[in-house]
Amino acid sequence: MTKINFRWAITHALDEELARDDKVFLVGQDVGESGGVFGLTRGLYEKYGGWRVKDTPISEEGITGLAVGAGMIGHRPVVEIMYMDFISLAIEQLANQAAKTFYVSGGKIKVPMVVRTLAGGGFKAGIHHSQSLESWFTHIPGLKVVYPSTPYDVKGLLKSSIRDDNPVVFIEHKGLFSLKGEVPEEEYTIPLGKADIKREGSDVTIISYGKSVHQSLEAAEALAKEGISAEVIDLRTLVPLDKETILKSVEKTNRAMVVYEATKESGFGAEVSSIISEELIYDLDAPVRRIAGAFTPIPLGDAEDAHFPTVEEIIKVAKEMCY
Amino acid sequence: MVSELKIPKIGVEMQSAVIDEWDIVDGSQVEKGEILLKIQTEKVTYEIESPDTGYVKILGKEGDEYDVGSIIAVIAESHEQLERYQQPNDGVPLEKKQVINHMVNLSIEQENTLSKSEQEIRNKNRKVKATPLAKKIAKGQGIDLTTLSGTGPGGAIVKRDVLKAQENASTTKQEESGMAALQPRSETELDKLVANRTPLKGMRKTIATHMMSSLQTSAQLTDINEIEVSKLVEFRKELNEDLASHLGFKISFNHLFIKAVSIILKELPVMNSSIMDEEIIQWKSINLGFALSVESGLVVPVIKNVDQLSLNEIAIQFNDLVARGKAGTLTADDLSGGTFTITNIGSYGGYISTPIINQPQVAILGLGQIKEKPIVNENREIVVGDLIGYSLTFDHRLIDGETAGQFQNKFAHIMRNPKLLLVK
Amino acid sequence: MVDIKEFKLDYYEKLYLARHFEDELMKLFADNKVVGWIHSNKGHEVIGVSLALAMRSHDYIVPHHRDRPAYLAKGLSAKSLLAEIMGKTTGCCGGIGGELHIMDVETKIYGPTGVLGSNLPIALGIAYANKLAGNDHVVVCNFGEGGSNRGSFHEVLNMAALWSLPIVFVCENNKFVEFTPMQKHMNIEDVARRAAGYDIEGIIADAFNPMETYETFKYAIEKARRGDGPTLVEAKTYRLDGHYEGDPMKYRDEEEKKYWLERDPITGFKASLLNESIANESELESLEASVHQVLKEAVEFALKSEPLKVSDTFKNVYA
Repeated sequence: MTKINFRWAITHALDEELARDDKVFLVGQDVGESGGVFGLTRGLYEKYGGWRVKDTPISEEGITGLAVGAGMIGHRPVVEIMYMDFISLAIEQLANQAAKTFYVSGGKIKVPMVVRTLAGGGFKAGIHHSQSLESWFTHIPGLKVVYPSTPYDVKGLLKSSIRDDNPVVFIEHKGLFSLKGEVPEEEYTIPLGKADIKREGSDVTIISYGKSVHQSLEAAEALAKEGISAEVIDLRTLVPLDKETILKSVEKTNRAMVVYEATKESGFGAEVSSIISEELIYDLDAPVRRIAGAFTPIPLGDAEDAHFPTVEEIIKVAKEMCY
Repeated sequence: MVSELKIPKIGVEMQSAVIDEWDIVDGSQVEKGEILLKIQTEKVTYEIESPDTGYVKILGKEGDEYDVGSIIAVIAESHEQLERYQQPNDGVPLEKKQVINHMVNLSIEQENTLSKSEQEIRNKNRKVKATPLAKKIAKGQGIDLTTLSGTGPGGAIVKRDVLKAQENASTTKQEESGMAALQPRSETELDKLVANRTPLKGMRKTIATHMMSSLQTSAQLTDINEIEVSKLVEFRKELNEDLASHLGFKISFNHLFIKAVSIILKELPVMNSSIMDEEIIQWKSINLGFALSVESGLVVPVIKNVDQLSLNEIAIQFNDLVARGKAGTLTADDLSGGTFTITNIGSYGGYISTPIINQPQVAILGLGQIKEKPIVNENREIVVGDLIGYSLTFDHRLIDGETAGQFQNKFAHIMRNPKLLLVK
Repeated sequence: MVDIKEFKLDYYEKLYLARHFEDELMKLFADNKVVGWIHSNKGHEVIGVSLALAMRSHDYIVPHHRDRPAYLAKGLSAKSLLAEIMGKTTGCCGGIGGELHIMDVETKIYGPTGVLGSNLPIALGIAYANKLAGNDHVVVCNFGEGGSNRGSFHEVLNMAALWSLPIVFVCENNKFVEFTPMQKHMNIEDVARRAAGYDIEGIIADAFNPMETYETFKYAIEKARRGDGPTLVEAKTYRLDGHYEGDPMKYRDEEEKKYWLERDPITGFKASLLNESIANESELESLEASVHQVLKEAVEFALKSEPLKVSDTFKNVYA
């Protein structure tokens, strides 16, 4: 095992897949010669050349569609959409073309592409550089959505996403770039659709993904000192969702909350909460709660913290639920 | 062409009726004039005929009450026409027009084999504020949540409250080990065994409603006494000896009492009144009703304008009404318009009672059996006389004790001077 | 070297097949045997067939909804095509795609979509992948003049030009977008002029002239194959029927329609074959008869085939 940070985990994953399969190639703004705006593709252009690591103009629809076309004839393109806020331009190709091709071709033509995109707060850069928009895509049948929280998870999941035969929206939280974590030296992958119990507990289940997982763990630590044992589940993949792990946990604890940075209303937590209510209503000793982003655009600067979940809030709600 | 069957207005007083029973099945073919159903008004059951020939679609429900004019069925030439028929609004039963807070019936599981007490607990628990988990545990243990207090937010009952209750219950059970925990295998309701169940509907329901309403709207009290009627007994005997063959029937005490009351009411019109909508209405007509027990319950046929009838005419009408009452062929007219009621409690062996006023009247006279009893005559000697017990219930909103007393005095006066019955 | 006589006969046969396929399709539609809309491809036969003739079998087409002539000419069987349009399981997509989503791996038809203009980025991707793989496959991308107003058109032409990709953009300009004549939504009359904005070659072809159109396409495709980058070819044609069956075409000028019908390239081409003694009447008749036979069998096949089952529509969401 070595300890690397989140951003390096991404770079290594891309490097390994580019080496492994020459059908893999990267496209995106500044991914090539400059090694990526966040340095995530550092060194890859030099290693694999300008056709496998391609700098593109500002043309999100064009390059996402490029990935669709290339994927249709057997390549494995990885598109980088620099800020998830810009992914709105790519939705036509993702939702209407990529997501539906396998279906409408009668199962004959696959689209094995990955759209990697940087989401979430942390740069304090305001409305168009801070959003977490996963629920736009969890709503489209045919797409997979992955949202890892640790270096170990991001590397294993990115590799699996590239090898997956379906279009995958792979969300990297920019606030996690410097997070360090243990990663095996040998090759490994993590299957999509499997959640990870990051901390076991018995009194309340905290379901989360992305950066919010770390806040949840911090809260769980504090709660333990007050005699409340919280179980923290990191979903890792949103679609397909690991319902089994969620339900097993809530059946045990009888209490559940979902913590996520994206806007609470119509956010992915609403889906998780509904599933729990539908399938476990008679095992709930408290209502299912959501702790999530405020229903506002994200402001510039430090104020953004007030629009996202906090550790204090998680602790407070957990206590309310554990009367 | 579609014909609508509506609740008809039968009798001036009729506002609504209850559907007693449908004689045909939904969708069946019917002939014009065929009896489709029976409806029940406050007074009487009616058979309703089909207005047309064709296929019938039933819209009204048995047991529900509908306004006059409500459409309760339609008859059409074909099933397709029936399907296409759009009901204009008011086939809605009266109860449902009132504000209803429906309890959505969330059945936890399909337990058709629930005993009545379990079902009752479940129904009570449903309305209690408790978490689903708490309810689930309570249900499994047969714990009545209404007996618990909750320690959850807003006082909700949570799992630990139920578990605690369970703990306490089991310790109590151990203490009461002498008591058999086994329930008998038959149906219980509130610790009593049930013999059978029937729904409260039809005439029974009508009577129930009327009686309750009467007691709730008026200030009723009853003067009870007995008076000597030896002279009346004698008088009647003579009358029948002389006239029974002429009349073809015997004059009964009922006839005589009716005549007596009609005379009194003429002289004491306040007893022939009603309080309606904050108004005291003194009736000109004197329509005397008398309680009659029939198979389906109780009816009160009315002899109209009894003050204008001779004893003979009263007797004829009385007998006719009784006969038709027993045959079940009384009309709405027979049963409406009463201003005073007599109830013969003596007919089932009673002597005194506290009869309930027949609204919207202000009094009711209950007459008991005529019994031979010891009385004291003018010579302070104990002799045998005929006495009748009576019970005059009156509405103190209008009638004061003195007026009631006057009624009773007049009654006593006629009883002592029965020939007044022929003359007045 | 291809024998010119054989080539032209082949061309004519394919044109004839394309035109009469449309006739059969219209008849079936009128008979209520077709699911959904259909868009008549009449007037686009020369474009589709000449493209197929100019392409090699391993070249790709990323078409729009008026390219049935190209599918048939490229080798997609009339049976498979018709069955797909009619929602039958024997169609090339199992009956689930219908008229707007004809895709076939063998004949290299990819990416048509009901969202007009969204096929352009897909074509770009296929061309990019071919360049990356270092092969000599060319991609032809078809769209209407309306599609050329989409943002995707501009993004794609820019990138294709920038990277010198092996792609030919074919704008099939039939002068109408749905119900609106071209002048009402574009400031230019020739879409080909847009090529200059990307510093690539823009060529106008008369799609009612079979040989001219073929030569133009051949030129552009071979140029791409050589590695000399993309070309924008604007094939000017005229839509002989409405936007879709049932379109009352109130916006069309009767005179105009008459003018174009007289210039129908297929009858013209036939006449030229006879004039140039490439074939005689009876040869052409028997050629036409064999086409009708193919179509007859295709119609029978499609009618006989099983329609898509509801349970089939829940499959293939994920690979």
